[in-house]
Amino acid sequence: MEQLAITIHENYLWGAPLWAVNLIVMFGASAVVLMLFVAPFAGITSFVERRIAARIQDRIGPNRVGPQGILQFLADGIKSLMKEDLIPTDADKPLFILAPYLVFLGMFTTFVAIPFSSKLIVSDLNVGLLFIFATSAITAVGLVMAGWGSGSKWSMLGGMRAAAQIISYEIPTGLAALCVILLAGSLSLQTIIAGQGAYPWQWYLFNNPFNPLAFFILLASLVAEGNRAPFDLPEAESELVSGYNTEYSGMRFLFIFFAEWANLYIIGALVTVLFLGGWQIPVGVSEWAGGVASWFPQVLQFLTFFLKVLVFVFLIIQLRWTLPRVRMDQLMEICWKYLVPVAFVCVMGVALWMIIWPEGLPWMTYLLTAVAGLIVAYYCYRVIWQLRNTKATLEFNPFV
Amino acid sequence: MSGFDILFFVFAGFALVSAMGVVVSPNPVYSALSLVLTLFSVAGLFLLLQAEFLAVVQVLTYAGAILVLFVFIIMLLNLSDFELMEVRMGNLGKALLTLAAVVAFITLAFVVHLTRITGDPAVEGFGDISTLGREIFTHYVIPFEIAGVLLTVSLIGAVMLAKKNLTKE
Repeated sequence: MEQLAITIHENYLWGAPLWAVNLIVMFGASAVVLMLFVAPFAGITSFVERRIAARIQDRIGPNRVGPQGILQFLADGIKSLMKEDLIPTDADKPLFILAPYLVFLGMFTTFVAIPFSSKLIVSDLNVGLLFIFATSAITAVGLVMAGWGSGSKWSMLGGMRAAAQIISYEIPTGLAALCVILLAGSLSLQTIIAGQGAYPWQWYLFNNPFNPLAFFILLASLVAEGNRAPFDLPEAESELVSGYNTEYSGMRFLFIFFAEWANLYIIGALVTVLFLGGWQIPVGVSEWAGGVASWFPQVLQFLTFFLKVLVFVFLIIQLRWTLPRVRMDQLMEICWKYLVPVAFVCVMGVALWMIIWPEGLPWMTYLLTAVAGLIVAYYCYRVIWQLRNTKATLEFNPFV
Repeated sequence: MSGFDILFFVFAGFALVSAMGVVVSPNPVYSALSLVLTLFSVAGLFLLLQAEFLAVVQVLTYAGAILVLFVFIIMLLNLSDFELMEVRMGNLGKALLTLAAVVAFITLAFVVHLTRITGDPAVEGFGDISTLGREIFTHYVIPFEIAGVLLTVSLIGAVMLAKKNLTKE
């Protein structure tokens, strides 16, 4: 990114100071990421989620706008734009207006540090991982503001729940991530990825027996921090109407939901970077692709990364529509009585493991990989069994 | 004037204005949110000083802390009754408080004056997390451990206080 700015500074905009060019390039990059990647991704994820939900609930789901209803999100967006901008009389007006933008800001700033491939990253911060956690914390402030500013009891209860939940689940998230930080010795996402390889047994996930546990803890607490079911108590429909976004309508409502779907990508990306080798592709493939064209390895890396992220996006969507919601006290119990202590054990375990076997233990890695492979195979078998036994029509429809 | 200077003034301005907001605002919710803005602006200043780790930790820690403060405000203060917020004290009390504030300000100004702030980092590669970690666990290990014990004690204290209330009911 800085290279690009320097090139432009030297060749095109004579006289413009370097920092101004830098600023323009940064704004441009953010806009490109936002418009061309995050927005379509969030939109299409909303559509995919609705189709999967419909599938699980034995409905059809949106299928009218465009082929298989894939343009439904555009229609919804236009509808929301044209809706009346309602602000409740009891609302704290400035807070009510500001809150969705804060949620949006917190979620999208995260994309600055997320690597898409070895070169495709807005900025490889040396505190990248913490940066992502910090910006997610801004989202929490936005949610509580939305809850309080709406001036409604449902919203406030939702906001309070969001605050309690996000503060609590930040701890297991951080501890689980620490397991990987110990191994990588860095907070920079690119360095963490560089420490892993393309093949599963080179991933941090299978480095030692504690890491799969940490992986599970990280995934669970990220889902909880993103207010997704089974931990979606802040917006529990059956109790709180819709929680902190009850009073929102039109574009502001969309902003909050947009952030939620973009957050799915962030969850997937974080898990992929920390445990699943990020964009790593086999060296042989990389060399072959480099021979074809200089940009080709980047594309392959991007696709690899994207595919891994998509797996988690689908998994989280499936979780949402299959698991029942936990109760508030159960939520806190899961966090403080199970996830946090187990995460501490994981951190200590990884540290000890690194002292005893600094080079790693190959047979343990292969064993863990094999076990994980069996679990994935069983999962696929169950999905296929379900599809066959529910007499689903297996026509070409990627979202069956 | 370079971009850094402009950013410095932006962040410093935000920090000062929002710090005023914390004190002046009659609504405690606004005070808490102004505090968020103050602390985030200070994080921006840290960023300009190349202390990325400090900046990010500032945002991370204080976003959570402000949330807790926010929850306290909503739980403990009855916000529909704004007369509750008025300070009920005589002139003597107000005078004493003002005096205390002035003394505190002078002390602070003196301390700031004594500290020689230069442009150089305190340690080579200060913003770097590994350098910071090494410094904490070698040079500053005793203050670090004391801070750790202090935090643990306060945590246990908080739990005990919460528990006592539970058994009473």
